Amino acid sequence: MNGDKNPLRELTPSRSASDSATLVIFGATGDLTARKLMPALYSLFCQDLLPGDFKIVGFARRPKTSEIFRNEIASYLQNLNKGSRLDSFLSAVHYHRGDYTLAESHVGLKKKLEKFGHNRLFYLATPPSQYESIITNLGTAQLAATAGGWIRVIIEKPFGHDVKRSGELNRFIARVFNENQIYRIDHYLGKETVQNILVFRLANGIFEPIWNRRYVDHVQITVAEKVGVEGRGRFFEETGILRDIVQNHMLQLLCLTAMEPPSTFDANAVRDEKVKVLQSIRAIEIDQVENTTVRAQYAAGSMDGIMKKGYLQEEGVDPLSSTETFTALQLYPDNWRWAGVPFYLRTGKRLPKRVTEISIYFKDAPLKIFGKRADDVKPNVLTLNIQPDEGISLRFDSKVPGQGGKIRPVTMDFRYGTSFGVDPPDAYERLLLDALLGDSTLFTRADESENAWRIIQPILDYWQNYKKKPLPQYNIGTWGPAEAAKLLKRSGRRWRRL
Amino acid sequence: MEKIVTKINTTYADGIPVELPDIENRLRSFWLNIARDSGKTVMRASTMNLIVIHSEREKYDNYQKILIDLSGHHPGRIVHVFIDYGSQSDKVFAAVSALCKMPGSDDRQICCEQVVIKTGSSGEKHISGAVIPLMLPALPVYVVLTDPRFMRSKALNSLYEITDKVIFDFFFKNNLQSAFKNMVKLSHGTAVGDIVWSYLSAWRDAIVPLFDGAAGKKYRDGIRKLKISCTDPNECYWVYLMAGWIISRFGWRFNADQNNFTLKREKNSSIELSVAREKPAAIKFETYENISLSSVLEDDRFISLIRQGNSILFEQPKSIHRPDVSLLLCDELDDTSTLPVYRESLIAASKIYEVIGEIY
Ligand SMILES: NC(=O)c1ccc[n+]([C@@H]2O[C@H](COP(=O)([O-])OP(=O)(O)OC[C@H]3O[C@@H](n4cnc5c(N)ncnc54)[C@H](OP(=O)(O)O)[C@@H]3O)[C@@H](O)[C@H]2O)c1
Repeated sequence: MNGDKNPLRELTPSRSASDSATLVIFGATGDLTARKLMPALYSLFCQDLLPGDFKIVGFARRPKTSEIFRNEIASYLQNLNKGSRLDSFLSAVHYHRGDYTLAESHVGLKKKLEKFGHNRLFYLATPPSQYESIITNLGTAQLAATAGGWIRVIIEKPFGHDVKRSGELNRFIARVFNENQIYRIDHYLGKETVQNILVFRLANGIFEPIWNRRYVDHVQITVAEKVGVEGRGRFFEETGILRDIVQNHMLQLLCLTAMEPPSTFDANAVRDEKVKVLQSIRAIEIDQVENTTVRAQYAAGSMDGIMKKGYLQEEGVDPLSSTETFTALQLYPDNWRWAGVPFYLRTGKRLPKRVTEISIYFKDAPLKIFGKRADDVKPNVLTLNIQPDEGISLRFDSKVPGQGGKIRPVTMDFRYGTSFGVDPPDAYERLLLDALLGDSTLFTRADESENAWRIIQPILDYWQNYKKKPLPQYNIGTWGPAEAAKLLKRSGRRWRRL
Repeated sequence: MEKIVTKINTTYADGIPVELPDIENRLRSFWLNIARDSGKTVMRASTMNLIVIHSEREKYDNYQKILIDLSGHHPGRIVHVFIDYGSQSDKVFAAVSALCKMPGSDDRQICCEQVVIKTGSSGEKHISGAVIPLMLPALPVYVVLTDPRFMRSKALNSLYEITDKVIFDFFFKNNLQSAFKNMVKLSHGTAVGDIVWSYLSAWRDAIVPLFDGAAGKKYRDGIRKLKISCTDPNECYWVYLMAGWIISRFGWRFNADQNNFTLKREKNSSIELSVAREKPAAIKFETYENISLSSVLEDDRFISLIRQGNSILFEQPKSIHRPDVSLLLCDELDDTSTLPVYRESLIAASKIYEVIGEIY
């Protein structure tokens, strides 16, 4: 175990991938590559975190030379202001024209790769419909087999479309790659605050003792997007926000909040605990879906002083569509720690602002001793802000200075930007580096993904069978439909206003 | 001594113009600049979100001063909205500025962030969408309305939905009927407060002790007539509110017969209610001994209590005629109690208006 680890690496200040490695990006001319992957790679390069002998091979269909490909990359990286190392970075970039569906394209790729080192990381930055051809062809071209180096593959979400297809996809990939070669990327897990959830919980002795049903009243997780479907109406019609956000990002956030401490901070130990949380979530019976979930679509309205279209008017969207752009749900982890504590999840498009956070609502103090002012006492809330301002805040009650006994809630904020004087690294940077280093802690294992699908499957089935038309609507720029408020109101709670 | 350090830190009267989506970023850099320019520690304290909405330029201008005064006591984020119904425009203008005060001697400024939003009549539909994203999370949201017409605006409904308290700051000249109806309607969904109600706290404070103890109970049971009079027709709204307060607190019921309007107390004896416009503004309880409260004509900082001909002067910190709105607003922001005294008074006031109509 770990026999190939360099002992000198222990306690060196920064992690860098020391081996040589080649990253092959399938979908090199796509949006993800331009917006996320290349900027992250360039940033890692500027911090000297990439292997000394590092190559990038971009794979796509469009005919172009490596030179043209480099110029394109240069055009979008130039603005990043990272100093003058762009030429040096670009010299490691190559282009391979090919078609995923053609075996010979992969044979050609193999030839190209033979000139480089043995360690290879394949990044599937393509729509999932193409995973099977790419993986089959990588297998046929014997590119998945290790020959003196390591071979890993990164797969972008969504990992399947439902329980059945996610199982099929996993089994299919397993025919070519071993599970320990597969890195399912959920970029949320690369965010600093997401990683900090565990550190915060487990490294600070004061929180863990109260992190349970005795002290916690409920938990709210919000992933709010300001954008609409942004020209991806057709894709979104097939997906909906439950698949797009809840199945992966939100359930991951829930896992990190609710999981038991792992025995070590090792990839499998962490993921074992996450799977246990997913398995403990009480299955939603079909006849409970209506009571425990909310779905809705955004209706036309004003945002930033401009009237925006409603979902049903968006391009590529069926005017009678019942695809949800907002959902809220109530889940119960039925385990020793959380029995009876509801976890409320809400996510939607065209909400007032882009924000992701987890809020832990603690129970009221046992006795209301402040008489008339007792109503002013609000429960403590610990909020983990994931984006845009990564940080942590705690709301507690305090006496207003001066005469009288007024009590006001105040918040104590900790922001990454201000406390450490640095902005946290981009999620893709962190995850690409982890994949190069062979650390899969922040990647999703097959059983995690399948268990997450299992949780939402009854909801998907119910929604599919009972297509409400029209779905409840919410105005653009508001925090969702009235039904979402009712979901919490039933138990005397309300959503945190963001 | 408190002194105002900075009113608006820019050459623009409303602050630095900014596009709506950039407001948050602009405010962030703004703080850094204020700290650097002033060379002093700037405390960015936040206890609330306050939205003030106007339809009259004059009130908007007056509120600039009120908000600066308020910033030291209730720091937070202020969104100051002006909808100019004289213009057809739907363009939304936004600007950011800081309202700062130096409350102590330790060189600390306390600053409120102010976002100004202006538009014409067709831009009303953009207001909620522009304001809601600006709310600081988890802090209370207060909305001050200086024109009753905003209560009818469908476009502002989503804003009211996230509001903890709507505070009215208007005097009525006309349309009292619909204003009362809308105020009561709004009070079902959110807590409500009223600057006029705060003015009345001086009067309420004067009245309350009259009914303390056994003697007070005797007075209360002996009241045969309640007469309230106001002087200025624009301000007569308070008469309804005052009557509404007394009636709802004492639990008097309205007599169903509208032609002969009386109030009934528990043991079914009735009380006559009359309202009038005459000088001085006064509240008069007719009992076996007459008690009346009235503002003193020569000096309206005082309310006088006349009891069997002997008058006692109460010096009041606030006057009904020369209000310091920032202090009154402070009272409203401080009062987060869930006791619906104002709301019940308002509902009773609206009933009184229904039966007795305008005060002539
Ligand atoms: N964009 C994002 O921000 C984002 C975020 C999270 C996850 N994702 C996931 O990342 C994946 C990629 O998204 P994207 O937005 O980058 O997609 P995209 O812009 O549509 O790019 C698709 C890429 O695949 C290539 N391609 C398509 N068919 C091919 C074929 N038969 N042979 C060879 N190349 C082919 C295209 O190259 P040619 O045009 O040259 O053929 C293009 O480079 C998706 O699974 C998406 O869900 C994206």
